[in-house]
Amino acid sequence: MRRELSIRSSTEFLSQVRKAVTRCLDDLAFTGPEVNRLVLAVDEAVANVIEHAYAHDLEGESMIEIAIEADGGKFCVQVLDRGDAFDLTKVELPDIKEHVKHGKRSGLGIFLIRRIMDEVHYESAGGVNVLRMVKYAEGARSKGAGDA
Amino acid sequence: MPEFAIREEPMGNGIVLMQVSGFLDAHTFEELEDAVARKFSEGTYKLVVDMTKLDYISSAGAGVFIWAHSESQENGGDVIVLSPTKGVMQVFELLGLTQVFRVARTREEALAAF
Repeated sequence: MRRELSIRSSTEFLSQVRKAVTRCLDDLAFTGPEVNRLVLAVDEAVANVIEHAYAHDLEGESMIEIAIEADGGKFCVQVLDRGDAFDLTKVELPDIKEHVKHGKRSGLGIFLIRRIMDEVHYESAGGVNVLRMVKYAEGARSKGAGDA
Repeated sequence: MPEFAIREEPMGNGIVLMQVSGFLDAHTFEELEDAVARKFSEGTYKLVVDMTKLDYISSAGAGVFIWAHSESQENGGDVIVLSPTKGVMQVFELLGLTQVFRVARTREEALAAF
């Protein structure tokens, strides 16, 4: 199944994104908890675009394009924006214990994405930024190269 | 039905119960943050957050808990998590927060934690 949606860069549309992801994962090989994690990872990715790529867009007019591909054992999402490049694969993961100790909250979303997904790729060229995330259902993982 | 809602209930001994419901994400987290900040400004640092009806939490919501935990403990209080749903616990586990927050199964257990 392939589904595409475009939303404005406003957090009010995150629930719409979550619903779209959930629908795509119906009847696939992912368990309930896995579905929850995948919905969360996509939510975090889109929220990151809103917060970082389109930080300058206070009116939330910029567009975010999301493409979801899901088959029996593989779930792939691409999040495309035309804002400021923000490669979350290069961000140092936070030390959660230190974060809690000091009441810090930054980087939690990136931590979750990289923990949940099997592959995370980021490309930025010609003003277009694409985050691609892949998750394989248990027992269906590819042996191909990936970056998480 | 609102996406996210908070209901407050004084529990005595300076403890306030905050029942959260709905979806706590990047769109709604500030409501919780503001509500907790108000409690802190009133000098209330002992909070029980009832998560029985919380359907979803993302890092934005978890971040509020992390901040609240730090702030409350610095002021002699604490934030006790009451009956989180499986989905919410999953996020806490992913972030390692189950090792930080005390999780109570009943109100009595939550109150006794202070």
